[in-house]
Amino acid sequence: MFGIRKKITTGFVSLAIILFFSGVISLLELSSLSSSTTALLDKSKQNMETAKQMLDAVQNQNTALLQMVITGTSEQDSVYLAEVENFEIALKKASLTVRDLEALNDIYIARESYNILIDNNIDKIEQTDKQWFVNIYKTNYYNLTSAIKNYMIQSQEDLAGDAVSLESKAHRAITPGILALGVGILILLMFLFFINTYLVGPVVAMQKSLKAFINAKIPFQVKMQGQDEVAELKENIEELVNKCKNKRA
Amino acid sequence: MRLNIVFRYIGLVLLLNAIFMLISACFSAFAPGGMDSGFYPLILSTALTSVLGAFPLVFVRRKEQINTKESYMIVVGAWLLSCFVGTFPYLLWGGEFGFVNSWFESVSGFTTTGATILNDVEQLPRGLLFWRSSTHWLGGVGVVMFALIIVPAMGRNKMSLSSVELSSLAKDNYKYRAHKIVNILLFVYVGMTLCETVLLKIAGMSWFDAINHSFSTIATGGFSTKNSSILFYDNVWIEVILCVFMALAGLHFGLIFTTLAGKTNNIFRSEVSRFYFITMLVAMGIISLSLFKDGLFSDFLTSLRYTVFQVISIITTTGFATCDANLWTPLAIIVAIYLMFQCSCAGSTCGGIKADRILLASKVIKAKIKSQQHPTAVIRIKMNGSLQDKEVTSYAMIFIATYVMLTLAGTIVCTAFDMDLLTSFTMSLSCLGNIGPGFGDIGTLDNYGSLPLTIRASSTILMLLGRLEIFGLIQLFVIKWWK
Repeated sequence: MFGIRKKITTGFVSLAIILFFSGVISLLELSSLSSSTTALLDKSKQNMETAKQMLDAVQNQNTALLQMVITGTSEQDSVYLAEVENFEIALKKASLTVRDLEALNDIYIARESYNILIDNNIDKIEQTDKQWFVNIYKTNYYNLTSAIKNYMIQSQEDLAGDAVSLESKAHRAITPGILALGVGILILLMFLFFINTYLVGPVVAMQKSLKAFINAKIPFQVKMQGQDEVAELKENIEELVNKCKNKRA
Repeated sequence: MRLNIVFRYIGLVLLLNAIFMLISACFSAFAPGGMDSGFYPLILSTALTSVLGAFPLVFVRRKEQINTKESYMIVVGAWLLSCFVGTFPYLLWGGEFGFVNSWFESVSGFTTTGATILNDVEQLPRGLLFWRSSTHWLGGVGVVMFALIIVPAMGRNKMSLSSVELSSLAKDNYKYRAHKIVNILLFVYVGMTLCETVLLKIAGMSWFDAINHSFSTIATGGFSTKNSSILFYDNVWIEVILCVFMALAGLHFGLIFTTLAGKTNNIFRSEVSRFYFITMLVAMGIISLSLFKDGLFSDFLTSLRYTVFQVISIITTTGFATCDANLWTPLAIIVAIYLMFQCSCAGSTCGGIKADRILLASKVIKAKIKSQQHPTAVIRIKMNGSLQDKEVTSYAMIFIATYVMLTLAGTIVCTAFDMDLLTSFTMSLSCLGNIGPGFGDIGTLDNYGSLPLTIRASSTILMLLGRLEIFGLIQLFVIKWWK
């Protein structure tokens, strides 16, 4: 059987253990939640950036080609080629970060048909009439830009799915704390009950009985549960009371 | 009432729960694809439950005799707190488990009801699947009975707890000294679980599924690791093994022991066991013929195969499924509803009114008719050759009346929430009898997930009432009784 000191220490240590464990788990879940949130935001930012780079590159190619058609010169050729390279870099970056490669399929197809069209006409672009630009080129250009925009929307929708899993992570981070609080309250109530039963109750009973003995010579009688220091104290008081009785006799 | 003593014994029960949580955590830690998502919820639940369970042991003396009121309080308290700590792994895991759903799943597990709110059981991690089955296994044998085995201070304590845990009829039938009851339960329960696990493995289940289904069968629970329950396996041998063990689990455990030990007081001589088997056979005959005649199955043997399994599953309050009972004929459904009222023998882990009480009630009615014909005659009521005193017969009648009233009360509450009559009635009956599935929206292949939140919460009260033989739980709320 534990002594009073050990009992009380155990009570507080139990509470501390519960709070510590739930704290650690909540902390781990919160840090996992935090890193997941950061990763999600990073992914979203990266996705937007690559999509923007692709759109910018295609738009710049478009401007360069338009200038070449209008002016009838090939001055913008180097600008066009540089933007083609920029587009390829952005597309490669997107293919490295995208979760589902199929999401890029439409871009690859649109780019292929766009490139074939330009490759076939780039050498004679100065002689090309505006009707070609408006009727044939423009359709391919719009196909490519809408493929890039669709990729951007689809990637954002995928990320929204990831955000739902964040909700369950947040639930996991909060629940240990709530449960530990519930268990902690139960232990606290039990602790209060045991302290009353094994410590406060006997001490009050001994005090009352001792007072009754001193004032009215009523025999010192206290019922006890447990075999700790309080029980020893009661036995010692009983011994003292008996000695007092014998002396007076 | 000495609450400190009550706390100590409840603490021991919680520690037993913690041990099973730890075993479940091991299943998650060593899952085939590496540690799964069930590990942290289970390990944290183990820690919380251990601290809660061990705390009273520090303060309360080891050897204390307990009286009847304290034993009642220990049983009811242990059951309620086990259900409470049983929610921890579910709550911490999340997914479909909110507080009401976790409480429902935990109560359904510990009361061996086997009803679930999960739409997709198979997405649960292995540790949580094992924990669900463990709640059945622990609940089946009686959390308190198990706790007593690990308590060094045995003596008279055992008997006072057994009397609450087992129905009074079962206690009378044992005819053994108090300390033998726990040993018999342990021997039969563990032995049957081991045998069934091995046989299911041989029949084609994986070890993991075999263990889980054995836990469910012996406890007459009904939780499965598959969404379509036993129908998933579509294996005749698995169905045969489950039928045999479900039927055995519906028998008086003491009688199984005496039969194995070759004693004269055995299953074959027991009037109640005979009544239980006759009821089962008659129900199988009526339902299989009705379904065959209706053309639900192409041939009679197929009809018999599915009917036998479903009848045994219902009468033993297990709740496994191999077919959709919602497609049954009205005759088959009403026979099944009778079985849901009667259920199996006292002294088993089944719920319901129990075959003993139905048999006794029929004898009381027969005696009443006789006494009206011969007013001066002294008519004695006997069961298994022994005379039943008036207190036992009147308690059986009161129990049946209360049971019917509670079923009707449950039905009224459900219909108030716009549920259809068949679903409402069979749900109340199923929860009070700790069966699991019913008819309508909660058919054999459905779940309770679609029911209103209030209904899910209130049905757990019926489950607890049924498990604690109705009056065991009611006493808790009678303040005068505490004094």
